[in-house]
Amino acid sequence: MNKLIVIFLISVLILGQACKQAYHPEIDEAEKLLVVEGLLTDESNTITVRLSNTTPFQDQEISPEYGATVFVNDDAGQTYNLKEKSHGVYEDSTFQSVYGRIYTLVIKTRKNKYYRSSPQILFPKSELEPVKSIVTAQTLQTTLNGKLILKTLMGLQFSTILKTDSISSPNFRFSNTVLIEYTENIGDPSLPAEESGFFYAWKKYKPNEFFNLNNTRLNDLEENNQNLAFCPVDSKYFNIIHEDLMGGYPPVTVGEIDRQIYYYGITIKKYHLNADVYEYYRAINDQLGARNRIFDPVSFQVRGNITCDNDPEVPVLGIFEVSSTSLRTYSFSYILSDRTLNYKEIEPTDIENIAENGKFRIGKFPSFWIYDH
Amino acid sequence: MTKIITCLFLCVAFLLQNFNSQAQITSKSYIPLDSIVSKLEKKYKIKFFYDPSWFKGRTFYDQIGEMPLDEAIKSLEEGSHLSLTNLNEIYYVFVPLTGNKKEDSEKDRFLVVGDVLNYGSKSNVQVKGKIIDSERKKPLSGAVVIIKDLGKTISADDKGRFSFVLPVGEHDLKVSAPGYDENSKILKVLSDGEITVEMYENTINLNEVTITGSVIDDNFRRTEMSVLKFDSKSIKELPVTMGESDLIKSLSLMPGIQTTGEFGTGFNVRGGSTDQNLVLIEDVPVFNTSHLFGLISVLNSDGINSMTLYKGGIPVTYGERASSVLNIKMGTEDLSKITVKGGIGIINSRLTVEIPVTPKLYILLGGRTSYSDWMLKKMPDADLMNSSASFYDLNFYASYSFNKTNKLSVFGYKSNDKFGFSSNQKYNYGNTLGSVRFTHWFSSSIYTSLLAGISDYQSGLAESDTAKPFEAYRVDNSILYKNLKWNTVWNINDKHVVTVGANGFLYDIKPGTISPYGFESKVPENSVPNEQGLEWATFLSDDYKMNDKISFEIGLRYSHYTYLGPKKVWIYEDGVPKSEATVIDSVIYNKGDKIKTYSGFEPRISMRYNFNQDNSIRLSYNRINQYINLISNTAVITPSDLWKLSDNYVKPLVCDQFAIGFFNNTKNKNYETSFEIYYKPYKNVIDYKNGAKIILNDHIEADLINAKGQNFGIETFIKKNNGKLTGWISYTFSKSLRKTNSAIFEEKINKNELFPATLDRPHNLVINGGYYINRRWRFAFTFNYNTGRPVSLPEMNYNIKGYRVAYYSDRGKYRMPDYHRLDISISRYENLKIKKSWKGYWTLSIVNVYARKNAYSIFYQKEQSPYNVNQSRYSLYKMYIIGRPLPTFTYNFIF
Repeated sequence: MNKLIVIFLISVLILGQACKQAYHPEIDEAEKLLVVEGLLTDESNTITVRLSNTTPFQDQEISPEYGATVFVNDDAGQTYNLKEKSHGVYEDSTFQSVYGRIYTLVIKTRKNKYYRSSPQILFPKSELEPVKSIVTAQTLQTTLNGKLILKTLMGLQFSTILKTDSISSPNFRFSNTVLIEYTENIGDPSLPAEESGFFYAWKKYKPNEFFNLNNTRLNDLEENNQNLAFCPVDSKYFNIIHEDLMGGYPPVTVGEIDRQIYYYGITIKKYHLNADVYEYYRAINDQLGARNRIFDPVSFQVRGNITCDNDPEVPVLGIFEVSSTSLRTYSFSYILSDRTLNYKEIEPTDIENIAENGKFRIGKFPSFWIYDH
Repeated sequence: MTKIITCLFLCVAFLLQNFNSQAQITSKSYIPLDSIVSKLEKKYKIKFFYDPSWFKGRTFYDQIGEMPLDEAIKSLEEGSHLSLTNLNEIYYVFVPLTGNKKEDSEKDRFLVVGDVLNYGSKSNVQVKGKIIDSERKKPLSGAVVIIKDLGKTISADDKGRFSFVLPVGEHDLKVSAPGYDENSKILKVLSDGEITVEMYENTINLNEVTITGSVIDDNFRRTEMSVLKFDSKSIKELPVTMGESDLIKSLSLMPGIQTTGEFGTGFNVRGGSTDQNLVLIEDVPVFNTSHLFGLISVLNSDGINSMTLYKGGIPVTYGERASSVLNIKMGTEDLSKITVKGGIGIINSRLTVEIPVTPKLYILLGGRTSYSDWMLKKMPDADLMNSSASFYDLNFYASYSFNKTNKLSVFGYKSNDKFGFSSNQKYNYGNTLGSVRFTHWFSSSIYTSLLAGISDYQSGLAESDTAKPFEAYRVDNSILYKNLKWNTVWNINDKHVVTVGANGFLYDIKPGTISPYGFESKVPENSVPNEQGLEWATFLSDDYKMNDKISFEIGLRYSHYTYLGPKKVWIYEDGVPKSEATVIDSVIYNKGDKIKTYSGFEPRISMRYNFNQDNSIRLSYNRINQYINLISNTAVITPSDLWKLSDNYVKPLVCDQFAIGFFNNTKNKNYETSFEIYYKPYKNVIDYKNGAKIILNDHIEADLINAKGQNFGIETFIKKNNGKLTGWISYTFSKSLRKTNSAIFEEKINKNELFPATLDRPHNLVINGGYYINRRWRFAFTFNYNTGRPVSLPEMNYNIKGYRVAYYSDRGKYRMPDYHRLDISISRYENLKIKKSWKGYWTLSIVNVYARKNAYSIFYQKEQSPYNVNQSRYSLYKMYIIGRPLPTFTYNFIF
């Protein structure tokens, strides 16, 4: 019997330890494909189309498609020509959105290839319902160099109750942007005077890992609870973004820089989508959310709503999204020591349009600065 | 030495006795047989039977009538060149010899068939027999029975039964079975009758490795080809993987059979998908053949009597699935004693009890249960750490023989599996099977059987997200299958065996019901409408033996299928991709309405030509229509995959298979080789649109594509059957290709060009061996090599709203890394004595000895600190199931 126990224990000890391993296959160099990121909303009466080309899988660069002719037709016979504002970015700010109108994106590239989107209707605005928040803890999970990282953090969970009963096509996505405001005291004597001292600083991030879509299965419910975002607020989180705020590695020592969270702001946008765009985002989510589970679906090519007129078999990637939007902005702070939560809706501020990060010397608040209202 | 002396003594005594007898009769006169017989009958109160024409004009020494009976008989036999057989000490029958009379005819070497009272009424008679284990009195399936003087060979069926039509007279009978000493008898055939042949286990039988129970001669005599047969003994000796011999895993080591993943559920035969295998347990199909993600087969091997896999040349009695039939028969029907078998392992334990309640009633009860959660807790992955997995199965089989011509058997099976990935994703599934079979023998040459069966497969998937408990849901689906089978076999004579029958199958599928999961869930209940279908088939075949060299099996099966209401059938706009958006109308059918009907003939032809005793060539062709498909868009089969019936849009799968094979036995049947080529074209094989939704899709037909397919391959196999070292090498080259043919862009896969199916793994090499270190210790190994299966890999990436997204290659453009693995095991047998009731052995097996990290799947993953949310990068990973040597330890026993 002792032998049996020993063998059993050995079995346990040398049982397979890992389940995944980095893999570097030889991938063919594929022909570049056009990528379209088109967005027409009622938000600011602008149409923005970003054209780029695919890049090899391991390549992080973006290859813009410049010099194209881009225009949008509507079913009333109007055409909106987009101008190239920067490499691969085309805009038209003369556009006036009309709910219920159908829009089609047309692109002609420098190589005289024509691309066309499927017709997209601009649905009437669907107001974002009030957003509530609760303080809770969540365990965040990700991988780094193939290793699992888990961290349980305190934070605010934002959610809303969707009202979809009067909407014929209740397909929504939600986009959230969080602004972290903090003070920064840099006491490094070796730095020039303009780089040291006391600052108001900020940084933005998007808390959603994937496209945040409504669950169409729940559309018929009277109270359809839609989760919007989870925003960590505790010091552990701050300590970690500490390094990130300084630009990554090597981390600066805590003794030289003193940072304190000042306030948070969050902007939540609701986009009312066409069904094919919703399905496209859902497919992208499936791909981004692959968690190497045993029963994951087979990976597949995700294509959007744009085709090439010259050769319909040529894949065109990306999407032309036509959506109506609504927006709410909230400020919040949470003091861990006494568990005090400050949370209130403020004037709509599109945090998305603020620079990714920055700082102002103390004494001068930035114009968008959120403080204890 | 003692044996030699004894033999010498007996020989001398025999010779002396013979000499004395002959010396006595040389001085006597001759008289007709009648006179001698009369004397003997009066003197010993016995009765002789013979045909007077055999002795016309012949005389015998008159003193024979005065001799002691034994001597007289011997003298008559020698003088007549006839064989004299004693029945119940009173009747003595002269039987003409068909060959040379045996010089050493010992009493126990004779087997008498038939009733002396019917002797001479027919020239050819039906001889039925049963092969049993001498110790346990259990039937031996797959034993090879040869009538040497007539060159006839037959394989005993799963109950150890066989049947011949033989001329009256004396014949040389030879019976062989793996693990048993060959048994030779002189068969004295008087009239229709039955015999029982007892087989004695080899003293080193536990050390033998026999993968096919009916190999060697049987392999040459059968008309059918592409068949693998396993009896209860050879099943015991299948390669051990996770602590026990596993049916499905062992099958995948044979040519033409593969599994999808490291421990993929089910198996693939000659490029056919898992759902193209009809896995029957007591003639009832099992819809999920695996426990624990496919780690373990669904059936406890201890209760199995025999297992036959047809991968080509499928007999007409079977249909339903296009690629193969695996027919599993339960219950050894050992009526001699109670037998208990079991095993204790580190993952699961099992126990089977066989009880002969009365000489007419036999009961088998078996069960297994697992305790495998601990394995998962050791995995340094959050999902797996929080996972759980468990299963159990129970099986029951009973047979009752009312008399010699009527028998009833009942079978039941129940299994349940539960496993979850993390605490958020849980699966459960279970099979429930049952059947009742009544068999009646009209005569020794005709029997008929009637079977009613039911199979119920239920599966469920529950998903929850701690952040969204109100969205937690559970999806359940099920398939209820009922069948009725009638089958009659008529052994007309030694040239024709005719089979006729009819089958009926009723399908009732619940494709999916969603319901809230947990108290907080607000998911409303909803379900996809049920599907019903009725399939029936009738068939007729003749197994015709033209002569010793040529035989045919020709059959025809006709299948008919109706898709039944109630159902709402969507009508889609022509010329555009089918989707919810292109529905233009719908038709509502009431319960029992015929929605769509398909039918077709399914011819089956097999032919064998024996060049000589050692070489044969066989050809086969079969067509099968399949009206039910498993819908799955995952790399491996999942428990929650859906069964889908053929309907207006999903047409029946039609599979033809042509095969030719050359078979050779050499060196006294010690080596067995085969070479087979097959070609399998498919019509209407199901494929999927990009991003097809499987679960809860009321328009699932819109996501499916009817494609064409072709599988072809070459299978080579060489096996060593006997000796200390046994084993086999098998190599298969095969291709499995698919092609869509649609004008609609969304329904084209790879621009309608040929592409490799997920199962396409061209090269497959298996080397399996067992070596007997001594009588107690046996070492075994299995090496398996497969080309990696086709996958799509991310070739490019691009940005969409700040997310980096991959664009995948065409379907099947790349391949996963090649798969290879070495498993070894060593067993120690505690007791080799035949008479000992308790027999136990320990097996230590190590899976993946050299720690190959075989890819199970390939995926890309965003690498990002949850705190550094604006930065991310993407990497490709391969997922593997076993990355290090995995030992398992099991104690198996039987008493």
